Amino acid sequence: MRASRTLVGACALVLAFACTGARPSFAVAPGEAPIDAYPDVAAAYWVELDGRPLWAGRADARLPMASLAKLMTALVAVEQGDLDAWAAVSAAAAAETGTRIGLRRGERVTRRDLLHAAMVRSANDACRALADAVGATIDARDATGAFVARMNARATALGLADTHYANPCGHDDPAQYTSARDLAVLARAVLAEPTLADIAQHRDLRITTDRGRALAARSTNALLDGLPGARGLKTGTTPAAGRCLVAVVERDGHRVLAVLLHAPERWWDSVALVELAFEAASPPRP
Amino acid sequence: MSPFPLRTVAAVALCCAAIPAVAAPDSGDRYRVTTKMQMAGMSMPGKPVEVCTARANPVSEQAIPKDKDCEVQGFRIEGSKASYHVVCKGKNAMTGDGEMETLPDGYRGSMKAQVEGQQITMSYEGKRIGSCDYASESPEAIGKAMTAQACEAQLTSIPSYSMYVGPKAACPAWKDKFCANVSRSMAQAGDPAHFAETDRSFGGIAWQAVEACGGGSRATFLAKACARAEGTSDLDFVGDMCPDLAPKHCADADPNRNGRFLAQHCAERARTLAAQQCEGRGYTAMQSSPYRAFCGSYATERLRARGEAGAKGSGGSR
Repeated sequence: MRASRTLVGACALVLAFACTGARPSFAVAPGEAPIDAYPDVAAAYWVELDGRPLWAGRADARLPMASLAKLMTALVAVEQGDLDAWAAVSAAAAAETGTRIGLRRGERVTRRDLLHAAMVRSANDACRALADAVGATIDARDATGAFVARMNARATALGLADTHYANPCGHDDPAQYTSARDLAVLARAVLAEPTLADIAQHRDLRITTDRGRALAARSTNALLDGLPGARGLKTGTTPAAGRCLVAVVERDGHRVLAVLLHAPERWWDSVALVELAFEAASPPRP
Repeated sequence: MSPFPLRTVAAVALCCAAIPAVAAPDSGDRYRVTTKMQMAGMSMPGKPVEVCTARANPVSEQAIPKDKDCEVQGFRIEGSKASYHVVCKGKNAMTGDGEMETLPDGYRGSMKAQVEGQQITMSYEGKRIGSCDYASESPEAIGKAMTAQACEAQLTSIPSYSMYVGPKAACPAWKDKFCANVSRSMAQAGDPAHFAETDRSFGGIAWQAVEACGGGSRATFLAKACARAEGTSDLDFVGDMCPDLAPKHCADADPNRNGRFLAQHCAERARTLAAQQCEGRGYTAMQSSPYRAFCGSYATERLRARGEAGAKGSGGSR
């Protein structure tokens, strides 16, 4: 009897190690709905810490997304693969409006460089050339349409119920909309692709066309320069969408993801949201 | 079902598996023991275990699995068989009727128990498969060795302090060694960075360990860390950990280095600075401004205030 009790005690001790060996860490209550703590930061927003939502406002409202559409463009392009293939810049791509990197009709650029330009500089000419190059492998007669169809199919596969694409690069269109919640899901899918997670962190862009023409630009994401731990992810601005941002910041093993749609003070408010979110990870204890 | 009955049953099942170990230490017999429990319509077969037991007659009153709150009643032995009734009180209250039997190559037994209104039937059978060294292979010896190994293994794990210190310590003999390790690892805890890291990594458990070992308290270490932080102008630490000391550092705080401190603890100076350096300026326009970090901290405090004001305005129900 005594012997068996000793054995039971030893087993209990071993079990106790399994419990006490783990470092305690703050956890946001799982399953709790995010609260709308900062309703004036954006028309819709979403902030999560380590995948757990902290705050959100109008998270399911369907709103224009501007260049945040390029997150899906990039995801579809990377999943299609063959990033070192050359892509010809079509007349339509060269004629794209908005932010551009200056591609010329007939030039050829690798899909990888187009991806960089679309993600880092939010260049519409590069985005369109990339979409057309990938789309042409599906339907050469309507490459852009085929690519957009692929974007919508991917959105459905990701369960993005409030997202629809009408063009690959984010131009305003009544049929081009998304929600803050859907963007958070999409951002996680993008971050799960190592190629994209890396590209999103680049502050500078330098690509070379097949004619040897070098093109350089700075990232549109100002957080990469000023906010410690900033890892991306994408900016967007159009008249209908306003100023939009998907920000990802990592510090001390924690990751904050903030999505803002139509945010008048997107930079200052995103910085503030990120800092407040990290506070939630490790609140000061006087 | 509450976890209690299952725990009780599991403990009793283990006892059963080791019944013959009550005999005096000597060279032993190795048995393969199989246990089975049935409760609430479920049958739970146990994994067979090999047990080294002292050589003795397993059919005896001493071999009945019970703890100090149990009383064996009506123990009767007839030939190779025995039967009994057992009544346990207290935390592990139960009643049971059991029987046991010596077999040519081992033993078997069973007990029908009533635990918290549920009937649980346990049965076990041990088959002799060889001999063994009881002194080193008995459950007691193995248990002691496991305990010693576990106690040694966790000596440097501060969160495991309750294993070594306190009334329920499982490793009291290791207390001095453990506390010496605690003392060594906390020697630098009066340093602000070390203090903050300790708080961040372990929460309150590190300080509980220090107190349990008689090495001071969180408050004593914090006082030291705050004094050092003031001496080295580590104002972020002062602001976070010793906010009572913050006001006297507002005038000297450097916006470039102590932006967060200023924004959080020096409202008047922060407002003035923000009006001069932040307001009306875009984030991108401040790329190279030395006030950018301060302005970021100020924006954070502003947003915090907006959130709090909104929560008050909506009755805190958001």
